[in-house]
Amino acid sequence: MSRHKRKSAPHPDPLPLGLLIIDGLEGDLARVELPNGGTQDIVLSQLPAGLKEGDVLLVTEAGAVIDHTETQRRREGAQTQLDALNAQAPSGEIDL
Amino acid sequence: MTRWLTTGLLLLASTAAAQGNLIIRFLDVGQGDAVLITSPEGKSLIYDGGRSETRMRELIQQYQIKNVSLVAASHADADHITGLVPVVEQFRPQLFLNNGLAGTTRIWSKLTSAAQQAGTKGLVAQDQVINLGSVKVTVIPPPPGMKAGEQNTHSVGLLIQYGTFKALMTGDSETAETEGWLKTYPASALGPIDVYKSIHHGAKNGDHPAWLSAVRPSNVVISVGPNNYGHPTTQALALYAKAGAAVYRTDLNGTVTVTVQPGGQYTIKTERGKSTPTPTTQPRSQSTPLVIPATPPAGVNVSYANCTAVRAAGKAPIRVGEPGYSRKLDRDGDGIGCE
Repeated sequence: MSRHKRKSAPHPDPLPLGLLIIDGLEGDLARVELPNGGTQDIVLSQLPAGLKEGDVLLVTEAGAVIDHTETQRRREGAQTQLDALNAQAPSGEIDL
Repeated sequence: MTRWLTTGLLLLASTAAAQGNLIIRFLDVGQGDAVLITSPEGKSLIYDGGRSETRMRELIQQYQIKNVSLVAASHADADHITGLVPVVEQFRPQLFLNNGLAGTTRIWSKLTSAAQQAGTKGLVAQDQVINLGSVKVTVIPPPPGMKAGEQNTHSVGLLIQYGTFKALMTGDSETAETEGWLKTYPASALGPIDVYKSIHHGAKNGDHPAWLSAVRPSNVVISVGPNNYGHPTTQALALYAKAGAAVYRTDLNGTVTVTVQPGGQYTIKTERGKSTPTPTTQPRSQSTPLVIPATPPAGVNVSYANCTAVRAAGKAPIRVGEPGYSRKLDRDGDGIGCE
């Protein structure tokens, strides 16, 4: 009689530590921007519930939480910068 | 020998420009979008830049890009904007077309800072025509009513017209956005389209029958690379087949180049694999659908244990679609292994 060892479910990789930013949501995956600027796909079930595109996550040894303050700070800062950039846009038909 | 060949090719390229051709290149950037559009007068715009600064620098060299007048970000996702950073730094374009919705990522911040440094002016998408030399570029802004804060449904589209030729690209828009466009524009303003960039790399929430029946594409280019999302989906491929469109994929065909003559006749060539053999012009039924093989053709069943083996074979870097490419050789998943 052969004995089959029961396969255990694979453990997900530990989350990268630091401030992660949700670049996009694709089905069951979140594409996150890592502190080094690269991106990585992470299964949503490993991340806090209810996160949205653009949210900033603080990941420590204790786990991952949405950093609402940092999210808001980055959102407002980036929007202000973009609005300033867009302020001098030409109107009407443009010839390049 | 190579030098003479290169010189010859450059001369041919110059001749093509002198004869008044529009050239559209759907660049092979792995998983992401990047389209280089060069007018007969040699003016260029880049619509999205893919997910890798390194890859875009290689492409700038490969295609001998001399100037870029406008960069367009369909939306702020990293796989669309990362490669725009070196473009802005190197060419200091006049304009940066965007959807007006800032991203929170570091790469978005890097892009807008680069634009600021370069003196590039921002341009929020609105119903507007941009003349890239003799090529008419119509901006298709997100329709009203899109959910606040969502990047995909705020994708900016571009309609490119040269003679009777029309190309359309619409970022990662989703059904809500394309339905909004169908209410905004008459179907006759959208299609038929000669060359169409598949929405969202062939995702299942992108193209849908009602939209495609307005667009009526003859040829579809899917900008796609190795990914975890299942792109392109069987649903999207089935839709393109049903539409009778020829399908090109940058993961299998490499960069896809469309050359358009002044009247609007055009040819499509691919870096790898089959190309459409004859100009796909009027009537549309002359277009020959390209059947993409599901498995590599016989005789290319090569595998390499690691990058040392690839280098020993003189095949590094090895790109997706080339014999022997595998995900294990491509750590960053940009479609180029053993870089």
